[in-house]
Amino acid sequence: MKTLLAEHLLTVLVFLPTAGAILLLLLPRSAAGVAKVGALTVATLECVLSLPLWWHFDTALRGFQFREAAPWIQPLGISYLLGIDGISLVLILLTTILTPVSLLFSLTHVEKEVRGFSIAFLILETGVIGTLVALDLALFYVFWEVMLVPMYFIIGIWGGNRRIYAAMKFFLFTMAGSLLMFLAILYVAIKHHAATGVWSFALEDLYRLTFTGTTAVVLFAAFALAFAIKVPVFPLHTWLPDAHTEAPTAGSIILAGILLKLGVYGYLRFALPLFPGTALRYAPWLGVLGVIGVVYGALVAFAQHDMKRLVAYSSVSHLGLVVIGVGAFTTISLQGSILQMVNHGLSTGALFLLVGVLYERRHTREISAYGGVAGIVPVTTALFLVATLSSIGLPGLNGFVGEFLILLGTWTSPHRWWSVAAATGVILSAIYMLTLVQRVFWNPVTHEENRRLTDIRWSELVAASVLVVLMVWIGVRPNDVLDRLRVSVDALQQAVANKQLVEAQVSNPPEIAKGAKGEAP
Amino acid sequence: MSTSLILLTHADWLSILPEVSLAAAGCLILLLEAFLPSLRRWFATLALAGVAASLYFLMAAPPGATFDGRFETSPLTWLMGLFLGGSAAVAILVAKPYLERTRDERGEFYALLLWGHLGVSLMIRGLDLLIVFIGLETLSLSFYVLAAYFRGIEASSEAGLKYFLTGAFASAFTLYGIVLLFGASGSTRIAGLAQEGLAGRPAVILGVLLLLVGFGFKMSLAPFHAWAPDVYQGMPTPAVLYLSIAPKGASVLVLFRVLAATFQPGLPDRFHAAVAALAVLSMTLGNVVALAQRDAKRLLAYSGIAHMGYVTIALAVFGREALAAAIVYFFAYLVSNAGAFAAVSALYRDETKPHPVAMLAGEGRRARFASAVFALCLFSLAGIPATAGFIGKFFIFKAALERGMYALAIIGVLNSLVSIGYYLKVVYILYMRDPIEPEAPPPLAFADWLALSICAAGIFAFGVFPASLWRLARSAAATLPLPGP
Amino acid sequence: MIALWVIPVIPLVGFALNGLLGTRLGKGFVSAVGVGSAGLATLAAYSRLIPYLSSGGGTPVIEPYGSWIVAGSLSIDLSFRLDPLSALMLSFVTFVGFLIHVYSVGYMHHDETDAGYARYFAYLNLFLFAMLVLVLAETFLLMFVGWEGVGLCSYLLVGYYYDREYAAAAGKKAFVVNRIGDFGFLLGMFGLFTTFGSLSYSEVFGKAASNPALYQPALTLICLCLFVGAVGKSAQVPLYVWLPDAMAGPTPVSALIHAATMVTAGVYMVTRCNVLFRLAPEAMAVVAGIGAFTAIFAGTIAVAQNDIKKVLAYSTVSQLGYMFLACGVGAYVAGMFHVMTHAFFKACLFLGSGSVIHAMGGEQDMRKMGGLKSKLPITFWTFLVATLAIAGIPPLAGFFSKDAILAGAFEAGGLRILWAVGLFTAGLTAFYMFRLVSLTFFGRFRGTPDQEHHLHESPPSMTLPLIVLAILSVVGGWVGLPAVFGENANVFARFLAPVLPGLKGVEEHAALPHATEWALMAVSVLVAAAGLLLAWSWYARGEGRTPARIAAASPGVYALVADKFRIDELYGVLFVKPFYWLSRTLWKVVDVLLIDGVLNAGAFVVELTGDLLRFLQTGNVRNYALTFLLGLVALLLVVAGWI
Repeated sequence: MKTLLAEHLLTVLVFLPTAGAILLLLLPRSAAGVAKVGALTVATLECVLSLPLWWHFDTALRGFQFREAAPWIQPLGISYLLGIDGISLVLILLTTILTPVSLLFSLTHVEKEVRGFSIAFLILETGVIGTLVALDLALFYVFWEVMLVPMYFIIGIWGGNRRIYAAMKFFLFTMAGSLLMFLAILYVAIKHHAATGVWSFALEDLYRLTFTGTTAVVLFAAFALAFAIKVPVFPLHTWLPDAHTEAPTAGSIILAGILLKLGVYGYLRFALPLFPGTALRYAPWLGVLGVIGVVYGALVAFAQHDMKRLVAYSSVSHLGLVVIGVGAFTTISLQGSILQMVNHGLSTGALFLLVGVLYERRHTREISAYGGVAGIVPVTTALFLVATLSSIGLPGLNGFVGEFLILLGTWTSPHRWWSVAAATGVILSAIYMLTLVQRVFWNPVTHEENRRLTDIRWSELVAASVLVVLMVWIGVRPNDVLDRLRVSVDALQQAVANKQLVEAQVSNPPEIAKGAKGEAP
Repeated sequence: MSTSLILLTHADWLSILPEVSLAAAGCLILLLEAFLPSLRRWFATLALAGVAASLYFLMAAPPGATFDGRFETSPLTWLMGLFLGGSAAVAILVAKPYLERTRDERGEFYALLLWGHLGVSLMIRGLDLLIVFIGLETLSLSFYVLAAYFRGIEASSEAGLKYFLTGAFASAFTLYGIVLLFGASGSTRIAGLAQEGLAGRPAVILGVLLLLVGFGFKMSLAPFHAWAPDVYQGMPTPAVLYLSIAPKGASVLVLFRVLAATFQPGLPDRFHAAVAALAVLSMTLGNVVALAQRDAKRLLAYSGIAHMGYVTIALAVFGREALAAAIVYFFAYLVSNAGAFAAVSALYRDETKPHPVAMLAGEGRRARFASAVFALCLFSLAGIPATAGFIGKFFIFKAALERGMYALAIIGVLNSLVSIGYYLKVVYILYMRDPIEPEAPPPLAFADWLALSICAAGIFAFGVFPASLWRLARSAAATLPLPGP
Repeated sequence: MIALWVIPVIPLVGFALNGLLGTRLGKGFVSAVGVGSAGLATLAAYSRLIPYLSSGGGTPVIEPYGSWIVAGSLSIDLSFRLDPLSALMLSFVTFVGFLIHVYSVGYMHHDETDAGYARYFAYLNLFLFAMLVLVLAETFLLMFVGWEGVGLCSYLLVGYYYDREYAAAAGKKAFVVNRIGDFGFLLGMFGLFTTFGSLSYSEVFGKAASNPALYQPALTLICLCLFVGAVGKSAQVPLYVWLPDAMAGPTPVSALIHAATMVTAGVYMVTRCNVLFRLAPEAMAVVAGIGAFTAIFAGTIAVAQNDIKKVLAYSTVSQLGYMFLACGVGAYVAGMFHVMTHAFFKACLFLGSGSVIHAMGGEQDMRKMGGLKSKLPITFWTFLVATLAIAGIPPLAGFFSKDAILAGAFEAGGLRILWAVGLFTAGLTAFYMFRLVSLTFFGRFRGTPDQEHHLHESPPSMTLPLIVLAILSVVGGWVGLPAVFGENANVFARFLAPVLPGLKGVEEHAALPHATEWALMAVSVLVAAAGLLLAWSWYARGEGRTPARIAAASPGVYALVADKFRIDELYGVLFVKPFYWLSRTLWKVVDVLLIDGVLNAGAFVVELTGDLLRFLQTGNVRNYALTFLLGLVALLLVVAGWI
């Protein structure tokens, strides 16, 4: 049993939530309480089981760890390949932490269709983890799409007033990108078959392929578009404010905390190493879009009068920064970007959670409906303040480290001005976030009903505290995370560099790259 | 020639047993209807037994061509027979509670269904265009009647009449086609078309085109689709369920047979262009118009039109891989579409009225199982991964890309994006709207439950473990003289 | 001997205790923890300082505590540094900080709820922690941690009365304006990293000093970026606007953060980087220019303010300008000297004003005060001493530091403009400070009888710090006697010498002849005295008739000065309004109108086609048959190759 667990840890992590969901399905529909607690238990267990990954992760090892392999659709060489490197590791941990946190928050705030809600959440977690551990493109695509369905229901059933529109928009936007990526994946596999006579969707096999010229550009575009929509990169971001705003609190936490990151993850894991030359050739565009995202997102966030919408646009701004770091593609900026994904997950997750705390008591997200509640809900205020500071990158908290690394790394790249332009985000984020804090928590109390607000309750407090603790921890000891990223980032850059050499030699696409290790990033 | 008609060999008998058992079951049910109506509640079971028997005999029949090479028993016919049997079985399962709800259960329904089924299986097994044609007509005649099953209801009779008129018209095309090919090749055998220099002859081209129209009609392939929405709307849902699946599969197979025989090694460019055009037109028109549908059955009709477009991509790609892909696609389509119609049949209370989608509002919380399976089927039809529908599309697009038909593939996926629009519309009406129907729907009948479970299981089975199905399809496809590995 | 990290950690613990438990355990506990931690920190600090000073304090002590951030070629250590400069800052930050904690007990005690009281001391401890990190840091990044940390505390304490909109707004303004400065600081650090490949003082300064020629070209820009940070933090033109508003915070906070410690961080940073700045003359010129202009500009505004704290605020801005002027002309020692003395007398002044406001029941308008010298004797005398000190009357602290700065400015040569400005500002300072004293303590009481009835001297917890600071304002300057009192008179300069290393191939200019120095001193004393007397005769004796006449003579000018030259309004028009407009337009036009508009339009078109095509579905069988035929014909045409 123990060894079984040890050898198939990733499989367990992927399917434990689904197993839990199936169990919940067998429950009588009436047993709402059981469903809540059950889902929370499963998610917590998942979190506990994911910790060994963190401890036993070999920071010196290049390539993927905790590998698992089994044939799946043999005739097409599609196989069940799992494995993680530092990049997926940190995002997996983020997922296994944020999921129980959001379920813990929901304990007291979801009354309608509790069982369905819990099930949707667990299946969502399976989708996310699967996406992060899949090393076979077909497998990856399956998980990538499966995520959409539960999230569609979470937004659509438990969301706000415009939930249906938001859910539709979310689904269609994401699909629009993924469908073209689906064709690209097929094409790449077909070319591998043509070149080697062997069918395979295994990532490391396909890394060996070399594409050049228009083919590469088109394929890269197909991948990049899918991921850019997910991130989202300006101007493909408009699904995000609607989805984040209309989703129930827990949904927003997962959306902002995790789902967005999968776009960047996909870019680093697939688009970049498969078509390095093209990717780097178009990286400047990516960077520029990132810069626009940072400034634009911040400016638009400032104009919002709905708390969640404001936080949502702040995500556009923060993810823009991450994209810049990826575009600059220096060791420092890459590590910064990955770290910043985690940071954003924690800070924005906490912000959505605390906005949720207010919303559940006051049932409005309008900023103007609050004001001066600091004296009434001091604990909530304090936590919100910490989350805000983390989000605007105050040194000593997590946000700063990521921001600093991205900006510094970008500064050392050829695109110094991105760094300068993006650094204005330091000012802008302070403006919109502190304005939010002032208008919600400071100032005189203008609405009498606010005097009756009750402060955060224990379940919410625990949920939020977990995030706050992590913010401080990463802010003080960022190396705990960075150490686990170092080799993976280095390997990624290595692989890209090698393959660029090969691409330089290869004339017509595609053929097996001579001499290229095709080593895994 | 003539002699062989009288003295049938043992093999001939064995090979025809499946169809015989269907015919027999149908007759038996009619007789019982006449003399022992008290046994009525066993008719469905009897019909199922008939289908099962026919499948058994089909499997047991020794492979090879019988009736002097006019009648095929092969992995291909076995697999397609399975597909047809499946759709018939689900149709019967759904029919039982459906007819009980309408308090109008008559044996003739099952008999006609079985005989139509007989016709379809003749279509897939006939190596002689006349046999195929006989099959086609048997199917059509039984379903003309089934369409008008509810004599009392105007919509039903109208559907029957429309189907009859258009169907007769289409059969005429088919017949002309056969005649032209006979004239050109001197035989009605499909194999006869594979003669040197025949492919170029205008008569042959025209003949094949006429067959394309005729069978395109049965596939409800645009622009020969117009009848489908009207007929689906009026026809009893279980009959639609069958009609919207089995004959389409059979027709595609027949087209593959004819084209494979006529054009060696592959489709001429112009012909390819024509077929591709049909595919694009059918996908796009089906999906776009489906967006505008308010009635569940009409919506599914248009969705079906769109799906035939996807299958036609396989026809345009043309080759062994393509046929295999088409077969897989049809199995996926079987479980998804049958499930969808089964759910429609289970979710609507009054069969005699139209089925507006809006009426399903909030059923997700009341008729949980039916709605859940319905949603699942819709996601599958939309081609979301881990469902059968995705696998179907996967192989079709793979085949297209392998042949370098990028435009077709891209138009295909863009269409699936459009299709998500209306499939999700149904889902959110089911789950995200509040009920408008005052009272909850009647409890789910066992037969319905069984049918839905089978479809759901199938959707996941094919969606998650498609390998074995693909292997079968590959070996089945090898039966035809098609190009490719 | 305790490690350096203990010093800042003590108040951090205090912050944690008060923040988490303070509200429940009541004011006694809070005061104990708050003041206690500050006191302990001071003791800890001096337990390190005294041995260090006695050992002559030449070589810097660097204590590494392991690595903080490692990524690629970047490696930041957590390490503290004790050298003359940090020792100096440490000495008065802890001590003055402690005094102000004590003072706060009296000042905040009665009018605050337990929760508020706990919050106040938690913030104050947190500030002490951040300030100590800023001072002790050995790397620029760690300094930046403290740098932003003090900014945060400033934000929290200025907005301490969060339920008053202007206070909340002032806090936000302080943070945002500081962030503008930090933007520059960040870029400066990036520049340093790319130039020196490290962010640790020892490496950066070491490399720069050892090979100036190599690094010189890059340094001008870097120094300017760093200086932007200083401009923000130390409230220089054009980023000074936040400091006057920051007076919305409790008065002890103004004393600690906005006079004695935080606002001088900019000067500290520039002095810390003197090696770099000395290699970037243009940057130095900018520093001097900004400093001089700020000094005179803020001084002028101070003349026309009636809010006692506003006067002190602008005076602080002006004095900070003085310090930058010193750094700009290369007189870093003088600059730091003034930082220290200013800490003493300006803290004393703020606390004194706090005592006054306290007695007046929250009244801050000097026009409603007057004649308080008898009612608040201790406050008056300490305040007077501090005023004379800031005015630069010998032998008080301010005299020596200010004189050193002026000497430096004079030394700097050129047209002596900087010196002239400095001199005039000195006069101005003396004038507005004595105007303040006259209006507050002399003349007759102009407040309400009710206020008069409640007038009382503050409790010892408040007066004690005043006395101590007053004493320091007297003697504090004697460590830095000018050269004319003997070569080694200037202990201060000799002490700081190690942090001002010589640069290869950069000549240091010679000191002034003694005669000149004497002359300069005389002049500055005369100017200061003139300012004093004028203010006294106008406001104490003449009850402000003369100035009123002058104001009446040219109302426009007076109004302009009184309205602080309407700089805030200007910024409002230039930056704030456009910002609002831009953010709103981007949202409504780009997001909603353009992007979503296009997408929705696309979706709409598809649906519309669907609706239109539906009408082909006539239900008429003849048409269906027709479409078959058309379809067949079309196919034929395609196959026949006519399409």
